[in-house]
Amino acid sequence: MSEDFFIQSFRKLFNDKLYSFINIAGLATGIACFTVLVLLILHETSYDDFHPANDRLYRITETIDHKGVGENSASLPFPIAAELQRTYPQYIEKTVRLFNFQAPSIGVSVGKKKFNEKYFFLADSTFFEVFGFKLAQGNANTALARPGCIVLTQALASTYFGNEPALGKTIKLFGSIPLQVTGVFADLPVSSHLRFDLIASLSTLRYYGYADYDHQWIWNPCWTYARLTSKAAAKTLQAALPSFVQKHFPAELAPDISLQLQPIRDIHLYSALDYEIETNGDIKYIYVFVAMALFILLIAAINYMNLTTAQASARVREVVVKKAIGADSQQLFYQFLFESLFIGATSVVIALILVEVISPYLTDLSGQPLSATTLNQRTLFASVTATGLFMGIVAGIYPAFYLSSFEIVNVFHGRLLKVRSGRWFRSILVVIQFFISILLLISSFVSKRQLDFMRNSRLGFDKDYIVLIPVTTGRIIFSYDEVRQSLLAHSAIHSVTAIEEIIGKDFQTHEFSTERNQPDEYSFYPSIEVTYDFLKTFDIELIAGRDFADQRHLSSSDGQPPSNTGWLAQDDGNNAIIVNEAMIKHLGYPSAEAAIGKRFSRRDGNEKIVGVVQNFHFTSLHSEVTPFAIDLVDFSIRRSRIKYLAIKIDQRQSTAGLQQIEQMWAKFVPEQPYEYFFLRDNLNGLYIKEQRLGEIATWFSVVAIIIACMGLFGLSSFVAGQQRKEIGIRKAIGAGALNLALQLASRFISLALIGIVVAVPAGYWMAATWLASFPYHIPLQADLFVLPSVIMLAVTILTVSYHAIRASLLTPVESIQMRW
Amino acid sequence: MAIIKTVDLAKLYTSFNIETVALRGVNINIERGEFVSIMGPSGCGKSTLLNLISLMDQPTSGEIYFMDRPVSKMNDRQRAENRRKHLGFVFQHFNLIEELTVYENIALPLVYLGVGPRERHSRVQRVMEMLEVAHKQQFFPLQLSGGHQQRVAVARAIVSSPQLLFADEPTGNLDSVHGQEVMEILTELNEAGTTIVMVTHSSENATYSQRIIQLFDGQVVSGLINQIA
Repeated sequence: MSEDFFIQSFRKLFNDKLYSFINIAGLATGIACFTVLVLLILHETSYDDFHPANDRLYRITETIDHKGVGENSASLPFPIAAELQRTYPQYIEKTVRLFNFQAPSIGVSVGKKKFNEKYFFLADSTFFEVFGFKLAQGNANTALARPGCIVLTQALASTYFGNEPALGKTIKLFGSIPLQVTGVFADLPVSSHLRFDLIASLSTLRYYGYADYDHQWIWNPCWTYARLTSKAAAKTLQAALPSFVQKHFPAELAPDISLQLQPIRDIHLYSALDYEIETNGDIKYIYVFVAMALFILLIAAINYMNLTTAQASARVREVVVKKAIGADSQQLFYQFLFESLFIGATSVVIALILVEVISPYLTDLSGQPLSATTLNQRTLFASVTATGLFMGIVAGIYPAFYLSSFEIVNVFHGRLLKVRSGRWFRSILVVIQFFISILLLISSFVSKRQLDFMRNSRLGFDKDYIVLIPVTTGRIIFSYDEVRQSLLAHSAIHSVTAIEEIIGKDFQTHEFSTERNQPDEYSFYPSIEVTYDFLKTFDIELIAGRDFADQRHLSSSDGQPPSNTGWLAQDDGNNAIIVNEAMIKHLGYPSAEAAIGKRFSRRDGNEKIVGVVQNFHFTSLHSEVTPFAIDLVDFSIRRSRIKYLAIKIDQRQSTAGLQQIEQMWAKFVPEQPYEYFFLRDNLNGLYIKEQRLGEIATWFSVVAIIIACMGLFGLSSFVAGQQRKEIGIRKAIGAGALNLALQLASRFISLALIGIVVAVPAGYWMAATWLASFPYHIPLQADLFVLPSVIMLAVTILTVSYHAIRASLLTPVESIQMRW
Repeated sequence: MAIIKTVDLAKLYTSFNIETVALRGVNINIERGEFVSIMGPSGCGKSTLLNLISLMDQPTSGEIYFMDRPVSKMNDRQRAENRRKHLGFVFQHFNLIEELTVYENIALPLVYLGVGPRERHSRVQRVMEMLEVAHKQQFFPLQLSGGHQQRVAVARAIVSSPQLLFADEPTGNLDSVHGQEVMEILTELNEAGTTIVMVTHSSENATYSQRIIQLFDGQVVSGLINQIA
């Protein structure tokens, strides 16, 4: 019998081309979109599931909280891993640390070639035991076992060594520490929160006497992972951590510190700590994708159900004839279900082609291409096929039941009295389509505006025409004064400063003793170390006190400090600090002026507050502005803290400015590769998730609307067809074309209006909930809801008016005779 | 022996709270091997009677005995099974399935009966040859003349060798030459043993039958041996 079903379904497809096209195009697009979203969801939820024993693999994180100020750090001080393992061997099987000097990039050289590597880490020898990364060449057991070893990706191996074998070759770290290549990674899974290109053995540092951080319990630059002996051990270990902190951390710090165990598989979707290796994903977006995937599928399924049941009147004769010659309802039910499955299967084939075509362009939330494992052919094929067949069944059951249940009375003479029209049900389904489409439109409008708001908000500092140059890897910082002078000599360069972190993005926390502390008591505050002209370069407004003053230049000009600068120390390097307004509030000073001259000192300094600046967004708009300190770096001891040169160039001479910087670089550090970026571009990258969400929401709302419109088009064609006799009669008795067109279109317009009435409050609630997760967000203005509604109405009118106008323009005789 | 017997058959339709009596007190017998015409003016209840005795609809009251079994005791499935096994239908509008070829249309009842492909093929071939449509077997209904469509419809109706064939105005959409052909085919079938019940307006067609049941206003007014013949 299935052979007969197949033949019938096949011919049905070709006989009714509009119906088949709308159904198949809608379903195929729906299935393709659904598949893309499912792939994205699979990708996002599969992070770090390739590690062995990933259910007992944890990252240990640190919270420093002193009276509400501090940090939530993804990384830990150096000694914790070893100390934990020593203390709790019954709970901890293995630990591994990763370290990158907290530098934006690290300089390596191969022969005479020099490279700045962003994804360079040093790791313990247990790296390959704890994580599931595989080697294509080399022995994982020994690759990082001794000092001076390095493992790198295949791509880097060919960049460095071309076609020659990489194993055994030497790479120099900082131009001096030799590292021997002991392994080349096999293809790395993209779905890991750990992103790296090179891993060197951490023991290298001590072996070459570079630094010994093993007694540093404050600086916390090591991402630390522990594989526990059992999953149950996590709870016990977590409970033991407070006493561990009390025992090992410096006594004055211990009360502010807590350690947490974070399951490795939760990092990507649930973690947004300070000093994450990379910006992670967000579970909220997964929920959004799931909703979108289901919405798109629902819209496509509704099209199918609506078109099939609307077409029922044309199939009544077929049903009753078949019943008359002996088919029972069940046989007909299966026949119609088979038809749906057939359309579903055809759609699957087209959807597969669509997904195949778009898959090279698919990226995850951070803009990375989807991993090969997520996109592997079997997963793709299975998910498309499963979705198509599921759709065929789900969308087909109702029409199959509906069609096969026609009663066959009055079959003779072709009269059928007991056919249910199903019009109400179809109307409800159409309203659901409008509801979903408008909701998607609203979400794309809101997310786009919030993204624009975050990108264009006044941050309290100037981010335009500021060039940043990473300087951690070279010698250039040793010539900082000459570099600065040489740059400032050119009119295209407005000002030059140097900074510890990218302002508006990252910050550090440093210890300070304020007047709220006992003299030897220190608190951690978000802060940044800078050089002179920081406020000038970033145009940050000073509301009290003064900027850091360069004594050398003051004395070289008139030898006197400016008269209005207030309190001025002999050397600002160890004596001056600038804080923001939030800090003044936090410290409880009645005014900004009242804070000037007050103690705000580091362990090795005698800093006092010399200036207060207006609050500015020193990190992304995902966080509220908290107390913040700007500390003038003391070049004699902390030169290595500086990571970037920040150069403000003249807007009208930007090309000349960039040339000038490049020439300066070539003059001072010709052996180092030159790289730079604009602050604005870098800060825009902070909102990549919002940008991708906006893009995805826009794409999917467009697709949803197209699918829904195809359905509307088909449905309006059927309605016009059904009413053609009525139209003829109305025309015969004098109805005008416009009048008739409006009458035909009005049903769909009213359904769209109902959709709008339901969708707007739902959209408002949804948008308000999403925006509430941002401390700084746009107001929900009326146009965010009016515009999507108007677009939807306009599209509806355009879609249904084709048939309405066509029907209304025919002569009465044509209307009655026309075959639609 | 009666293949169909009705006892006090009545059918009421209710629409917008208005009751319409379509049939009342209908008592008829149709014997095996008979060729019976049902005649009467429009709205007299011919189609309603045909719907009831062909097991398509259920009476409001009274009983139908189909092959001595009361139909009211049968569920939908059993009635569909009886239609499938024992009844054939020829409609005024041919009612062929447009997506199926001549061959497939004729084979359809055998598909529902679960007849295997090989036997199906030989039975379809036999009736196609009998009705002289074998040369059109790959055609679709819309490619055929009315006369050929009705031949196909008859072929479909008899392919399962039904004991009882219902024909509803079988020549209504045909010209007189093709109409006569169809009536001759029905006569041949009847002579070969098939019981035929035909609804018709045409007295000329009624001459082919042995008995005419006259309906008027939902009641049988005569069920006499055909005297027109």
